[in-house]
Order: sequence, then C-alpha cells, then structure tokens
Amino acid sequence: MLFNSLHFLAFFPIVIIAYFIIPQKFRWILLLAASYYFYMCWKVDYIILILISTLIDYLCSNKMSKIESKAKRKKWLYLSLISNLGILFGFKYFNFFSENIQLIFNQYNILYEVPFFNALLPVGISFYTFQTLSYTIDVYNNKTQAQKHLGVFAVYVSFFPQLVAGPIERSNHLLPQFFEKHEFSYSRVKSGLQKMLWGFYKKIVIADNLAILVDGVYNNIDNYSGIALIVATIFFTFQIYCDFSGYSDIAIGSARVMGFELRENFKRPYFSKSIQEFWQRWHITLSSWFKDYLYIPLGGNRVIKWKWYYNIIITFLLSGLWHGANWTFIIWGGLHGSYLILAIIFKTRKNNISEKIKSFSPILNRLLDVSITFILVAFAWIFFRANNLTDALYVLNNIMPELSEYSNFGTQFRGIGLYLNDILKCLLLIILLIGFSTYERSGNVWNKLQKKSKLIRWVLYYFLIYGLLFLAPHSTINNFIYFQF
Amino acid sequence: MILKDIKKLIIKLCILISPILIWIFILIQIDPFNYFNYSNIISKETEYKTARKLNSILYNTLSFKILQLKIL
Repeated sequence: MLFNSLHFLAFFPIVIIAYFIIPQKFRWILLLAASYYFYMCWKVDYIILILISTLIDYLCSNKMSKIESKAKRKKWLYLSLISNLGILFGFKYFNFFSENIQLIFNQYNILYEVPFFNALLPVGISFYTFQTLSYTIDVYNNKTQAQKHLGVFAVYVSFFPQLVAGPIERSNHLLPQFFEKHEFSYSRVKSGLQKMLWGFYKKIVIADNLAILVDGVYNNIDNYSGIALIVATIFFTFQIYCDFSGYSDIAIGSARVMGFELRENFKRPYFSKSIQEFWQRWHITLSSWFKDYLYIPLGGNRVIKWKWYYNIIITFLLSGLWHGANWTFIIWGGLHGSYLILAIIFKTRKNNISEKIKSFSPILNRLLDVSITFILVAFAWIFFRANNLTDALYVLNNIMPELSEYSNFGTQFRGIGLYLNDILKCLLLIILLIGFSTYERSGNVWNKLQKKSKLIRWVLYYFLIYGLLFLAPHSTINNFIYFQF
Repeated sequence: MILKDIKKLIIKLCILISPILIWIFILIQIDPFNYFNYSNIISKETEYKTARKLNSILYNTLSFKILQLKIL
C-alpha cells in the first residue's frame, strides 16, 4: 500500500480509530494485523519473508539471552546474520552477481550459463532486514534485552509506518514504546497530522512535479545535453530529497498520531557545510546504522591513516550497494567515500582558505561551503539516478552547456510536454521548499507557528491542501523512490 | 479530558474539510463538463458554451460516453 493512495486514506483512519478504542494489551494484535495487511496489499506471498526473519531473530535473540559466554552466543548471531543477509542477497543481489560473473565468463570465452533467480524484489527488504539485524547484534552485545513477547517483536519488525522505507529504528528506542499506554492527545495527534500534511505536500506536489522533467530527461538521455542535463540533475537533487523526506515525514507523523516517536531521518541536508555534515543530516538512521554496525567495528578512525581511509571507503561502497544492485549505486557510494577521504587529506589547507574568507566575510564563507557541498552531492546523484553506467557516463560527457542553448531554453523540454511555465512552477516549488527549510533552521516550523496567529496556521493548511488538490501531476500515482531499496 | 480532545479534533477536522466539501458540492452541481450527468441547474446550452472554451475534447468525449450508455 502506498501512503499517497486513496487506499491509505481509508486504511489509516480505520486503524487509528480502532487503535484508540481497543485496550492497550490487545493493541499489538491490531498493529500486527494492520502492518501485515499494509504489506500484503503489495504482494501477499512475500509476507512469508518477514515471518521467517521475525521467527529466526526471535529464536536467535532469546537463545543468546540465555547464554552467558559471548563465544557460545556467536553461533546464534551467525545464524541470524546468515539467514537475514542470505534472504537479502538472494532477492536483491544474486542476479547482479550472476550477471557480472557471466560477463567475466564471456570475456574469457568460458561456456557456462550462470543461473539467474527470477523473482520480484520484496519492497522494503533492505529496511526491515537492517532493523532486525541491529536488534540481534544489540542483543549479542548486551546493549538490549531479548524480547520475550513474540507478538510485540513481530510488530517491531513490521510496524507499518516505517516498514517499507524506514526510518530504520533501533530496538531500544522503538520496542519499549509498544508497552507504553498511549492515550489520545489532541496536541500530539495534531502534530502528527501536520507532519503528514507537509510530507504529502513534499511528495505529491514537489517531488512528483519535478519527477516529470527528471524522468523525461533521464529515461531518454540521448535526446538531451548541456543545460537540460544540468536542470534535470538539479531537479533530481530536490526530487529525491522531497520524495524520501516526504515519506519519512508521513511515517513519523502517522506513528506520532498513535503515540509512537520515530527517529528523525533528515535535518535540512542541503544546508550542510561539508560532506561529513551532509551524512549527519541525510538518511540519518541508515548512516548511523552503518557507523555503529560497520564503520566502528572495522576500527573507525582509531586506526592508522590508510586503514581509516579503507574503513571509510568500504562503509560507503557497501552503503551504495545497500541502495541497489547496480554499479551506479556502488560508484555513488564510492564517490561519497572519496569526498570524505579528500576532505581529511586537504583539511588543513581548506581550513586556511576558510579562515581567510571568514575574516573577509563569514556569510560568504558559509555560502561557499554550502554551495560546494551541494554541487558535490548533486554530481554524485547523477550516478544514483542514471539507469545504467552508460547513461551516467553520457551525462558526464554531455553536461557542459553551450551558449546557444540558453536562447532556446524554453523549448528544450517540449518533447516531455513541458513548457517554460512548467519549469517556472517547479522552480517556485523549490524556492518554497528552501524557504520552509530556512524557517525550520531555528526549530520545528509547526511549533513556531503554534505561537503565531491561528489565521497564519489555517492559511498554511489550506495552501498545502490546495497544492495537493490542484498542483499534483495528473498522471498515475508515483511510487516512492526508496521503495525499490 | 480524552473525550474533550476527541471532540476538539473532530470539530477542527470538520471545519478544515468543510470548504473542500462545499467546493465538491458546487462542482457536482455546476458539473461544467457534464461528467456526473446529474444536475440540471445550468442549462445544457450554457454548459456546452463554457466547456467548449475550456476543453471541448473532454466535453465531447463525455457526451459521447453518455450517449453511448443511453443507446446501450
């Protein structure tokens, strides 16, 4: 089920009403049934994968909690890791590796047909796999208690607001919340609905409008060059942010309506002054997962310099691979890893230049830092968005604009059915987003508006609803980009 | 307290969606493209004149659909 569908518009109020009507001790049953239904609306059979994951992790964690010796617990940890990662590998990466092995065989004229696995990629498999993995690793490290209640644990694995695209929760944050009694509270429900409204606006109005141009260009890449590729890449930079942060807002908002607090996933990432800061603000729950369960166990930065660089690059390459079984994602991860390593190598030199500019104008220094980070991030998105490596290389070879292109800018996107007015509409939406994010700088927008006149709040509500009703593209409902991961 | 909160939320949600409901009601009544083919408040002639200016293809397609249904 998609958040941006009429199906969800009916499903959500029913779940909420039922949730507050039934007693606390039976609420987990409702949440479990609702979550499984939510998932099965997409494909009924694949619920079996969530069930397998849940049962294996429940068994392994409870076995580990009864064993004192860490060495003996290891076999249960390995069982959990192998089974979860095995399912993930089978469904997501098997064909990618087969394809590459086949290419190598063909290169050396080895006549062998590598097997392929014809199955649909289960929606959200990377998200719930990582969530359950973090739980078993935490139980192994005695950072969290093994959950004895199978039903509640099953809800933790499949909790519908964050099941298919995160935020990736930690057991010690989310699990205890299922045992708390959540009374109906007007202010909390209002806050949740406000967050959902802004999330829907970001997805349905901003991201989906930008998607028309981005998809039009990137899916027919040979027909475009120069300025068109630059515009499409910049639009994609905002599209992916609105798409994914929109989803996170709807997830956090819908959970909040029921009384659950999920972790924030985005903190105005395009205002970051460095790539390091960007990763503290972008997809926070995934980057913190990789930091805690891969980067730090590898040794983090408390090792010799070359090992430190190795740890960074491995973490980012795997983060890229997590996003998808395609070389474009691996290169995207590698690029971000390389940015970070270069930032470490040239740290002193960069600081010296920054100091000089800062003494001249602190605002200019900040503006430069934010702009450079934005350009680097946008450049890496080319690989993320391109359908394959050939397309990405085409973009790199043809992205430099020629002067003549500026004069016929308005006609460049006619092939997609877009006129200058449509481009201007998209630009206005981006400006609105930047304005909202700037206002968000000193705290939550809705909390700030709470102190202002009621009229301002209601005007904003109607402005957002108006956008949802009249500014959304007329095409079919668009999937969330992160669903494919 | 909880009941008071629920009541407050329902009232506010009703106020929030009432303009949208009114808009939908007016839209169905005017029915510029004869999509619902239900209301007769606006004469067919006026409807056609207005709709032709806005989107004649849509109006003609819907008219053809209604006619086809009548024949069937």
